[in-house]
Amino acid sequence: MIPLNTVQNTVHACHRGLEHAQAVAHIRQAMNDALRGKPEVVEIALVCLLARGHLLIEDLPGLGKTTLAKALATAVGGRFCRVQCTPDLLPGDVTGFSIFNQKTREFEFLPGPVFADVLLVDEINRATPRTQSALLEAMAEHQVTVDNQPHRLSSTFFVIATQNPAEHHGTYPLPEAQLDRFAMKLRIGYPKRQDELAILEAAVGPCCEDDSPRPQPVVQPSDLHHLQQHVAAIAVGPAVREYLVDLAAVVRSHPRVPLGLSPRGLLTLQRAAQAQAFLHNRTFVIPDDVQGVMGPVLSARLNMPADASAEVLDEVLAAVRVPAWEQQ
Amino acid sequence: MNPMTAVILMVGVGALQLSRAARAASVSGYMMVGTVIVVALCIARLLLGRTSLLDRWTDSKWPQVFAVISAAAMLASQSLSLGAPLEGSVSTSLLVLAGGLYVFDGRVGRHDGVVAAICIAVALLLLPTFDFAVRGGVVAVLVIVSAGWLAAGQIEPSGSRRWSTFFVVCAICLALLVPLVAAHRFIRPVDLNPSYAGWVPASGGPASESERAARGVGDGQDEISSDHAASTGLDQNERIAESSLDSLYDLWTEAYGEPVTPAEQQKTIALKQDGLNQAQGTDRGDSRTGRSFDIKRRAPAERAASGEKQGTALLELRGPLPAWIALEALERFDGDAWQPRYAGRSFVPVRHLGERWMELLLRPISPAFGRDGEYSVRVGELNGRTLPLPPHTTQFRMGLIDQPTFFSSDEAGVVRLARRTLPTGASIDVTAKLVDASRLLNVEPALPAHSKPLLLEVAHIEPELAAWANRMTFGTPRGWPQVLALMRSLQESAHYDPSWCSPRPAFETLQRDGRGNDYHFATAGVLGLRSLGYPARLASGVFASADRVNEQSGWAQLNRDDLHCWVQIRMSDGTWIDLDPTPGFPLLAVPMNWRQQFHNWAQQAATRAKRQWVAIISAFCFLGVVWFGRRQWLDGVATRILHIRGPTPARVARLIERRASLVGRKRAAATPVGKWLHTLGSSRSILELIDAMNQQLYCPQAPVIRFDATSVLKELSLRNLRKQLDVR
Repeated sequence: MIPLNTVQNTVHACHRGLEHAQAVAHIRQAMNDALRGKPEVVEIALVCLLARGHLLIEDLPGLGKTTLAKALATAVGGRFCRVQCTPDLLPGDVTGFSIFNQKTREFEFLPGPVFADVLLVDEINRATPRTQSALLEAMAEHQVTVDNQPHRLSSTFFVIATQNPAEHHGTYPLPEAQLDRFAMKLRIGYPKRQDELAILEAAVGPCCEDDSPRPQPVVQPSDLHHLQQHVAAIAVGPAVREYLVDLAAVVRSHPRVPLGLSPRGLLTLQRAAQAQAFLHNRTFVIPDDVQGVMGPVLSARLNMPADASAEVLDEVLAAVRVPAWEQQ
Repeated sequence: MNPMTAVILMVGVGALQLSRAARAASVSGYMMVGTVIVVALCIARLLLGRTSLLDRWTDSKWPQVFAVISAAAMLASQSLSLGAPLEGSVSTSLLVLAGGLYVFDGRVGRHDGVVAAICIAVALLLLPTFDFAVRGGVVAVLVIVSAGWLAAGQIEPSGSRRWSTFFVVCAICLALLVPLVAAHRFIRPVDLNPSYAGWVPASGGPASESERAARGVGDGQDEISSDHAASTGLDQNERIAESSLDSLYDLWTEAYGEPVTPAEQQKTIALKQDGLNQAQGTDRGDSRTGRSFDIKRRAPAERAASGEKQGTALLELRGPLPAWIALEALERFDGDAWQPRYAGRSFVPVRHLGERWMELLLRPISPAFGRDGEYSVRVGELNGRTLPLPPHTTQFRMGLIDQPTFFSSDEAGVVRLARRTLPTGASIDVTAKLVDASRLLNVEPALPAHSKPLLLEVAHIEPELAAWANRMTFGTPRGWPQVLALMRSLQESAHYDPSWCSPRPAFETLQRDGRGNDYHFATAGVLGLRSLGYPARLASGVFASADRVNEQSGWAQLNRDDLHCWVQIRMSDGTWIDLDPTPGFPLLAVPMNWRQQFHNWAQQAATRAKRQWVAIISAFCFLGVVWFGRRQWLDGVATRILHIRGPTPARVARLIERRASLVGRKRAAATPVGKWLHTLGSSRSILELIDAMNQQLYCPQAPVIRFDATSVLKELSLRNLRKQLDVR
């Protein structure tokens, strides 16, 4: 005889699982509609979102970086803010600042764009290191301190930063400490021929953005929070944990890698693997998940060109034995 | 169930048994048929192997069928050489291997375990190496195991046998059987009740174990007397005296009181003459009436030794040693013993050369002789007429004798004094030819044209000895290699025990007792050589070893301990060469260069191959079949083990990985198993397997996901994997 509460829990769990799957499917659909022909990029962005990490998109102008960020922000239904970085951008422009209210005769805090749910930091490498470092606390601890007063950010605070690798003039490359705050770095790349044809076809007709149907939010920020909680509970077996540590050790000892995977990076890798497992409708992580997210996670920390990063990734993956029959 | 397995195995085994029982010409028929089938099938398979049919063949059951037929043919051929236990063991183990591999073909059958057990049991029964009881024990255990297997299959007919059931059944059977076997093996009726000794004619156990057991021979204190010659047990009277009942002495004491014990000096007086004669019937000399004598009887005392006596040597010798000095040459064997002398015509064997030197008329001339050897002999207490002359003597001088007619000889070639025994202290100077071992290859041991057929008399030679000699010299080229091989085999066949006596024939003594004296070795050597067609005779005399030489005087003192028997073999030029088959005595070493050694080896190998060509061809066929089907068998064994252990997802995936590595599609260690399995196929069953395997490997606490192991194993069979590889 099965206890009634067990049955109820199981039914609720199934129900929740179904809801989560539907929510993810909706987000995915919305993003795929906005960014045509790039499902793998959408998947990585989703993994990053669910793993509570921040995403750095490095690619040429006009490839849809902003489109992706806006679509993601719209889909999760939160507040979306955008910061266009220039050399004269000040930290207060990002975090917010206090002004003196003449009526109340008190200082009031005016929150900056970091108090959004999704923050798009465009061309982040154009900001000065001072402004870049203002983002450090926000990204790492989900809070900012202005005038010695800490201010909590949204629980689903998610940064999508873009940078242009082609231009080096007047840019400030992100320091390693800043890079380590990002969970993943990815490139979007040019769309395929058929997708470009479809993009052109869709652009005929509407003359401005208001003419096209505006995308609607598919989930609420609270739902996203639940999703992230669910992902964090995905099981990671001892064999996979050992595999993760082995990978980190090999990365650290790789001759071409100046700074290896930090423990924070390893945690990020595990969260990303959990998210990947969740997106594949699994309740546990397998080595395939780890290998699937290893590339974006590693490239955010290697600070080297994309080709070299891919080579290092291949060498690292080939050097570590996948746990298979040792437990049997 | 593989009924064909059982049928084929039983046919093979039955053929062997029939041939063993009959030992008739029909054996070769079996052998020929089996071998022809195997060879034809293997050739056909090799030819067809060049086409795409190869895969179909190797994936079918045919290789295993071939293996079994080939093993059966080997067994049949083995029956021809019954005396070779090694070959029997090899072919039997091949049968076991074939049977086992055939059963392990990867398919689950309820009775496969039984068939395997029967194969192994039958093979063990035929194995000639082990003791009968050991074989019986192993067979019993195997029967129990198969019974347990069957029982487990009957209780769980769904195919998922429960090991607990299996082990319980086996344990019960073993618990019942082990005491029975132990009682049968180790406890005899005499042990159970000592009073059985003497009345139960089975103190040595059942006759099935040993022929001697039924007669109670060799049981030590438990041995009983019987009509067997070797039985030395207690007879009736001794049995009574040994029994724990009241003895006859006690009964007498009870009736008539204690017997009188005479005092030390107590004397008695003799009866009158008449009474004495009546009592004893004969007159003992001193029969005076009234004489007194001691009433206490005394055993006759040994005579006191009158000082130490110096042992006298038979003879003393100085010259090149070792030397075999023949005093008697025995050529006639009547099946029981060597006859000391045959009735031959005696003649004067020498002529006078001057200065009392006598030259032998029939002096030996042989290319095997090297330099001359000078000997001096002093006769001790030989007490015979035969002159102690070293071998190949050409001339000698004895004391002051200058007349050839003082000497005589007969066909055996031994020189004697014609009319009297050798006087002690006589001195003989001898010149003899010494055999040069390096020149021995110039002469061959063979019967000269004028030789007596007596030297090749084989009528009284035991068949066992002839067979043994044949076996020991099997394949060696005729001539010195064969002769020396036989001598060496004899030296290694038993221990030398100078005091060993046995009523059995010489060879039987060596074989059964494992020891014998020089007479046994020499007799077996002569008869063995004769059975191989070499003229040989037994020589007895004195063996002069180099370690008998007194270093101060330079003379070798030879006494009765040096009396010895050895073998003499006749050369084609008429000379006799001494060979000593007794262990510990020097054996002639004929040096051979590498060419002659290679020739010997090649001829030996060729002879062996010629005689056992069936076994060799069968072995090659078997090995070929094993080689061609090795992947199937390895896969079959692994699959069977999987089914026995239970097909969990991880085990199934691992088996598939093994299969892939067998066809050269090994998974890289850094590739996840699931991803790699995807590359093999993407059917529903494979995807189910991947999910279940991932869950089992990386989230073992979660409940196992169901999957269809049979269809996955079928879809990713060895054959299909190989096909995929070919397509690529």
